[in-house]
Amino acid sequence: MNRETFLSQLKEALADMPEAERKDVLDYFEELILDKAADMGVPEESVIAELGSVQDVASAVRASAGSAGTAPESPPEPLDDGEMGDLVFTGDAAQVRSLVMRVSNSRVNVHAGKDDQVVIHYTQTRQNRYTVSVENGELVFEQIKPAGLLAWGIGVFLEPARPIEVFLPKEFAGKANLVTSNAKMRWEDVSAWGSLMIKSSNGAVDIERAQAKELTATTSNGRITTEQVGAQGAITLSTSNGKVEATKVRAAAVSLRTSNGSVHVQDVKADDITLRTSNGGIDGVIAGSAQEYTVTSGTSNGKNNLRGHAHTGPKRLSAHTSNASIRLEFAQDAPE
Amino acid sequence: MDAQLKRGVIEACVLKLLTKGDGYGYLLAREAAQVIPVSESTLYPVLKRLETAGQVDSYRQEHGGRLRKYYRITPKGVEAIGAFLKEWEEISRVYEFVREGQP
Repeated sequence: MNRETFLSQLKEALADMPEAERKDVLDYFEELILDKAADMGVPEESVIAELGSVQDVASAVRASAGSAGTAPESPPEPLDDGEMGDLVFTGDAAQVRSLVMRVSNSRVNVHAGKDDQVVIHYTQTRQNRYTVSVENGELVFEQIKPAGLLAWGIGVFLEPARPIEVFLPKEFAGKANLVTSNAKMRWEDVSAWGSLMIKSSNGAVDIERAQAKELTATTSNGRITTEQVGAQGAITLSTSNGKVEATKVRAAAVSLRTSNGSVHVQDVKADDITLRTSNGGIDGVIAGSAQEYTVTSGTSNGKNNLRGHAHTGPKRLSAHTSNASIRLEFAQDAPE
Repeated sequence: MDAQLKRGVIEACVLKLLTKGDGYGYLLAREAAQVIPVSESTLYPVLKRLETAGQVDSYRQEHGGRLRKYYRITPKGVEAIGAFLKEWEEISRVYEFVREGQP
């Protein structure tokens, strides 16, 4: 497009603008085209091509429309960073073999939804923006990292990220890897065929009524609670400064670790059980009988009711703490 | 970037460029783009706002057989740079507070 055509089309696109202001705009772009073409040593046409469409130029220019002679408070420039507000992503569950979420400062809650859909409800704001993609069976929901200091409006301090609600089929035929920070995470009523990894920090993790090939949940400064949870392989729960609880848990191996918090088991069944903490008690009930287990245990500055355990069964139970007591019973041997 | 925030930052960049000498549209667009991503089209409303706010004024001067528009910073514009820097000092204090101890 040559300069005359561009300017006349721009003039048309700005037909509703006051004459004086429109002339300013046209002068600005005419000069710009001439100066840039001279400076870069390129034809005017290529300068015009780089400007983009006439409509784009017109809408960029309109950001200042109506400002002549009025207060400098003009309408904000159009946002180019996507839709804002409460948004819903809906995907075909058959296309998703892996769910990956990487967000920060947002609670993430996973629930059972429709059998054939993966649905994510989230709230997009200027400070908290996300991308969703599905490629090769992997659904990636990711928070867009702001680019450095300038990207953080002052509003970020007033505007915590809203919870993200994820709805998966009750039987989710894939694996999941969910990461947030500084927020709670909750997973309920969904069984994953693949492995399930949940990671947060400074927030609790709750998992209820779920199955997975393997389950790993990690946080810090928060509790981890699991109830009616099973895995073919290992269940590994690890936190710090919070308690870890496992109720009605079944797996090949169960490992519960924390520090400065207690470890509580209720009806936990596994061939290999590891319970570790410090400055917190270990208590509860293990499924089965004492004869089934070979036990290693120890505490400092506390009582340990497993101290006299002499059986050498095929299963392994390891319980260690410090500055607190160990009190573990076996369901079949428990007093009536 | 937050549009409101970006607007303020671009305005400050343009004002700063003008403290080094009067400039015309293309020159300012080229130089500002070295500091912050800003298109030539976006620069127009920025210059317009600065002019309306009295932080820059303009005059025309002959160049290569045509009259080119030059922008010039006003005392109000110089004040605006000071206000911008002061505001960002506050923000960077908050930034340091938030950043501390973050991985």
